[in-house]
Amino acid sequence: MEQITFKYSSVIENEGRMYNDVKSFLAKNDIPENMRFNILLAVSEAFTNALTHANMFDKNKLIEIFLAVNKESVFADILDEGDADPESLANKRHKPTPYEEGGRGVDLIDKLADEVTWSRRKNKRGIVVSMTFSKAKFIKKEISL
Amino acid sequence: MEINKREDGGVNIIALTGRLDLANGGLLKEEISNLLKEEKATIHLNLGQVEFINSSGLGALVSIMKEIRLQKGRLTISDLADYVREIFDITQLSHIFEIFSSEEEALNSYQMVGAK
Repeated sequence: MEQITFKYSSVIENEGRMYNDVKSFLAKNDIPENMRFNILLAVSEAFTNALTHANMFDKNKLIEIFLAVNKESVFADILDEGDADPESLANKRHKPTPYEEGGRGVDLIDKLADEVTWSRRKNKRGIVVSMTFSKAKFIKKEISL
Repeated sequence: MEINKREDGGVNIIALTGRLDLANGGLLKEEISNLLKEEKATIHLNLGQVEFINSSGLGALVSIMKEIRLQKGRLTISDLADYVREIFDITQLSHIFEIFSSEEEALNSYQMVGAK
């Protein structure tokens, strides 16, 4: 299994760095392009939540991203150092109306990932968002094209 | 993100290149806000070179649309890549934006409205 961990301080400039790092890892591991976009989007949503709501742009707090790939799936964990309650996040099934400017992040993560769990970090402040993306449906899509 | 501006037949065209996310969404909002201050509220966004958009970028577009409508202007969008279009559909934003397949088609629609 190929795996990697990235660590970022909670400053907005790291949004672009994170995007490039995750994109490179997925490309290096031959993830199909349409699947790559879904993973990048879901990871980006979790990263933005960690940056803005959990770590509140505190440059002393870290956001960690763990990525792993095996034959069947891609796994992504996003860890913050904030005070959010994982249960309330997991149950946050807000469906924004199209005219709302925010509140789409958790809903998008739910739609893009095949499995999502929200849990408290072990022995540390913060939460972990763990997502699994199955390769099967994307590989089938590419073959049928 | 790169923001290129030009004007064609009274329509302010903004072509975006790169990522439309939290940081860049703020830059785009600022750019549009400057146009609105100059009472330029007829705006077309060409998203053809946008390689990535997330909910922060979508939120910026919703905010921009509301500002433009408050000024009784018009916002059109064109050239969405397939995966960007898919995100508009998933979030149901394709129902509230005027989306055209090409910039030319969007600009023609302004002429048709103007001709009425």
